[in-house]
Order: sequence, then C-alpha cells, then structure tokens
Amino acid sequence: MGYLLHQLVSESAARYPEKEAIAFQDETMTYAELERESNKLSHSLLRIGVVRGERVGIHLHRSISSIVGALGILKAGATYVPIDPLCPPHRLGYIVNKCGTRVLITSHEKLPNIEQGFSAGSPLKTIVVMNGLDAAPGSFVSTEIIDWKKLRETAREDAPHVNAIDADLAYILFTSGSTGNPKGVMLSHLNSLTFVNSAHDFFQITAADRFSNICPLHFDMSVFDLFVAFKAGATVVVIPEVSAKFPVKLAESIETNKITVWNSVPSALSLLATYKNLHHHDLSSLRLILFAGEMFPLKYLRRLQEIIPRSRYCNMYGQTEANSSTSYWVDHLPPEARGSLPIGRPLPNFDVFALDESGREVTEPGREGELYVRSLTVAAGYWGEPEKTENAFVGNPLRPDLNEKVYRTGDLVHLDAEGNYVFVGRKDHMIKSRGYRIEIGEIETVLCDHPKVKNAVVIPVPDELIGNRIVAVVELSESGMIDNEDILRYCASKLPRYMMPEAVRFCESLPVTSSGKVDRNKLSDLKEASFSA
Amino acid sequence: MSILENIEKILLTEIAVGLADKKIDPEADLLEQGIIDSLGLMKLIDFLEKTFSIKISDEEIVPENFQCLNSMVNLVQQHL
Repeated sequence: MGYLLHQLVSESAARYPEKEAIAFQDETMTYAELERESNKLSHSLLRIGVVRGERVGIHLHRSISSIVGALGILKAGATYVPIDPLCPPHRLGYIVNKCGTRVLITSHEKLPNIEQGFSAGSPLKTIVVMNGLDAAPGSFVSTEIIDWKKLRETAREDAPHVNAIDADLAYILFTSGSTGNPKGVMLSHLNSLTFVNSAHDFFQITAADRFSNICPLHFDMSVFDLFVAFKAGATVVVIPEVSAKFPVKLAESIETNKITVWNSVPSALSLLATYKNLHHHDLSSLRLILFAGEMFPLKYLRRLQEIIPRSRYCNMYGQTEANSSTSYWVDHLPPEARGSLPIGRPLPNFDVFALDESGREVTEPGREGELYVRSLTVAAGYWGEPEKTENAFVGNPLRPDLNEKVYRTGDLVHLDAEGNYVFVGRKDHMIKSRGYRIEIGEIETVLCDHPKVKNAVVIPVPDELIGNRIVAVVELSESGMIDNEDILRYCASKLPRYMMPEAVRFCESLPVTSSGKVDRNKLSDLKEASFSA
Repeated sequence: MSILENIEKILLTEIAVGLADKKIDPEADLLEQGIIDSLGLMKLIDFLEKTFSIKISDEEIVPENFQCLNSMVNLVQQHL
C-alpha cells in the first residue's frame, strides 16, 4: 500500500494501464499515459532544480494539464499550490511571494496575468507553460519561461526516486482570511490519504465508477474527485468551467459521460434543478450525489430526487483544515421536511465532538457547542501564520494527556434527536457563497484600502440559490466623487470573483462602537434598505 | 440605442460592474474570462427578456449564445 498521494495513480496504472483515467472534452488519458506524463513532468521539474518540500504553483484552468501538473509536482517531492486561474494579479503575486514559489506551472494565456502580479523581489524564477508557446520563449525581469511541450520530448518516463514521506506537505490551499489576505492551509500526504481512504471505502467506490470533476483544484472538494477516483482506478470526467454555468450542459455532461458519482456545491445542483426540461435527459447512470460547502435548499433537492430517484444523496460537511468530517444520507426526503439538513455523523476514522461555552461536551439535544475535529486528516496549520495556526489548531481539550492537536472549526452545532449534528451558525464573521468560505473582514479590508473610503461594512444577504449575496455599505471620506463602479473595479483588482460584492450602497455615516469599529448590531436597519434594488 | 449598445449597458451597469473593460470588445469571450458567472447569467437572461420583451427558452441557454456580445445580439435578433 502506498503512503503518498500520487502512488494511488502508480498503483492503478499497474493494475489498469489501458483504463481511462481522465476525460476532458474530446481528450482522454489512460492510467498508463497519466503515469508516464506526470513522471516526465516530475523529471523536468527536478532538472529545473525543484527540491523536496518546495512549493510549486499551478495557475491553470481545469483541464488534463492541471491534473498532470499536480501529480508531476507531487512526484518531484514538492507541494502543489493551486492558484485560481481567474484570480487577480495582485492576489496571485501575494500567494507566490508568501509561499516562496520559485516555479509556476501555467498556460500561455495566463502569462500577462502573471507578469502583472510580478513584483520586484519576487521569488519566481521559472514558469513552465503547459500548452506550448506560440513564439520563442521570452522572459520578464529575471524569470525564465519554459515550453513544456519541448521539455517533455527529452524527459524520462520512469518514476523518479525522491525520498518523500507521508508527513511531507502534498498541497497548500488558499482560503479567505479575515485580516485582508488569504491564508494557506497546509495538508500533508497523510492528512489527505487518510480522508481519501476513508471516503473510498465508505462510498464503496469501484473501478467502474465515473466521477464528475466540477470543483476547481484550489477548492478542497477536488481532492475527493481526483484522488478517490484514482485510488479505485475509476474515471474522472473533468467538466469544463464554461459548461458548469449552463444547466443544459451539465445535464448533457452527465448523460453522455455516464457519470456515476457527482460531487459539487449545492448551488451547481440547484442550477441543474432549475432546468425545466431535465426529464428529457437520461441521468440514470448517477448512483451517488454528494454535496458540500453550504446548505442545499430542500425544494431543489426534492426536484432532483424526483427526476433521479435511484441515486443515493449525501450531505457532506467539513472544512479544508480537516477534510470532510461528517456525512448525512438523505435518500428519501420526507414531504414534510422543512429547514436545513443535518450535517450528520463522523465519517470512519474521524472523531468529532462539540464543546459548549463552559467546555462541556455536547452529548444530548438542547445544548449548543463549537465543533472540533480529531483525526489524522487535520492539517498541519496555515503556511507562515503561526498565530492563526495556534488559534485554530489547539490541544485536545478533552484529552490533554494525549498531547495532540485538534481542529477548532468555529462552527456552532447542536445534536438532533437521532444523534446527528446540526449546523447552527458561525462564531465569527465567516460566510458561505457558492460553497466558498468568505471572511467578511477580507472584503472590508480591501474596501477600506480604497483611498476615498472612510469606512465600510459587508452585509451578507441570504440567498436561496447561492447561500449569500454580498452587499457592501460604504462611507466615503470626502463627498461623493466616486460611484459604485469605481469601488467595484478596485475590488476586482484585489479579490477573486466569488468574493466580489454584488452591490455597493453608500451611507453618510456608518454606526460605530466606542472603539471606532463598525457596530454590527446597529446594522439591521441598513440591511432592510440595502438590497431592495 | 442599438441592441449591442443596450446589452453592453446591461453588462456594464448590472451584471459585471467593475469586472469588464469600460468598452467591451464585441468578440471578447466573456464566459472564459469569468466576467459572466452562473448567477450573472441568470440575471442577464432576466434583463434581456425584460428589455427586449422576449422569452428565452431553456434550450437556448447554451454557451454559444452567451459567449460574447455579438452572440447575444444574434440571440436577441432571432426573437424580434
């Protein structure tokens, strides 16, 4: 049995060399080819000078190349750092600098974005362009740009020998941070494999399964799609980013690719359920539909269950810091069901508990507590953020004698009569939108950085389809010389698309507390007025 | 205002405020660039239906009809 994430591919390549590992639009790649291509990339990275433990960036749209990229990095003993392909240059530059990334894998369309995010003193030395270069490789400042198509011609096909161990970091996933910059969750091979093995067995995945992959590489749900499938020797059908916006295309993807295992945020499934002619498609190949990241509105779930009655449905719960931790089967939604689904019980090999304000474990319905996760899946912390790490990864309050770390989720839960955990809310100002977690403070920091903004507050407006819509309320430092477009353009230069406010409201003066901070308790009046347009 | 100008205005003032260039290239791929996301798409369809008094069917909601300004103009013209 392998102890490193990429060994899952090597093992399946030995067992099922000719089986389809990945399908993307008109392209497919067998397990033997995936093994060979990723080996070649890892040799090339080693030749470039990548060393064990180094953080190599991936700035690519969802494709076969992005998967080969991740595997090639792992096989070189390095850590992959996926960076949203649509992220603004400023954010890209921040992540590259933060991780000390010397090598970045990308496509030629992304070069202008990278150049814009490049600042003096950037650690970036080499850019590997996966889809080839139209012109001769150029460079900017001291960065070398390499054409992978040329490099691969002479690269070795066998697996490189790198002395990696399961405690080494496999990937770092950047997620919203409350103080204005994203924070990188560090996950080791062991963290990830512990989850992958548990999920593989729990959902009885086989080589005959065909997975959808609609979650981007920088989103932790992609780990399930890719590595659980690779462990089983199953096929991953990569759904193009553009198709994911169109219900008709989603239905066609499921039908023509005979997808058996679907995994996405509920909003993608809600979108599918809004398609009126869904019953014209044969979606009976689906046997397992997993959703995670936010609440699934029951009316859409109900509609899907009417159209795809034979599939099983499972509500998954977990945070990037601990991988998916609990699950709740919801195969037959009772007609009288209202409100939200429970997040359920721990998956195998997970210990999950909730502590109330006095530190007492919640063991019966009626009391509320903060959820903690104890498992080998729990991350090593946040990259380069010792203080944030210390606050979230704490000694086990129930067993101080074990001298171990558990993850403190910040999620408040209670137990229902059946012993399932039910999500109640957050201890802080984190919200979910389209399944992404967003620290309101990060958006507010960007707004307040605008030279003409005196103070700003972000109000989440609950939305059935996407969880929350984001409304910014801004107090200007000088009388109204700027409009909402000016503010939003500034946000777009700093924030990823999913964190962009949908609307900006102006306010003469925001209520503040005695310490000068915005008084959230007095914002309820604004809330009413703020989203009428 | 032409159909193209009308749609451009909807995009700039309602759907992709601050995301698109101030003058949108009629051939620019707005889906690939992430200027129109799934929620933006739903809002856009709503605006198109109201502005031009047309009804867009589910089958017409495909990437080919929403890729760029010109493809949206074609879609609207088919209904007028």
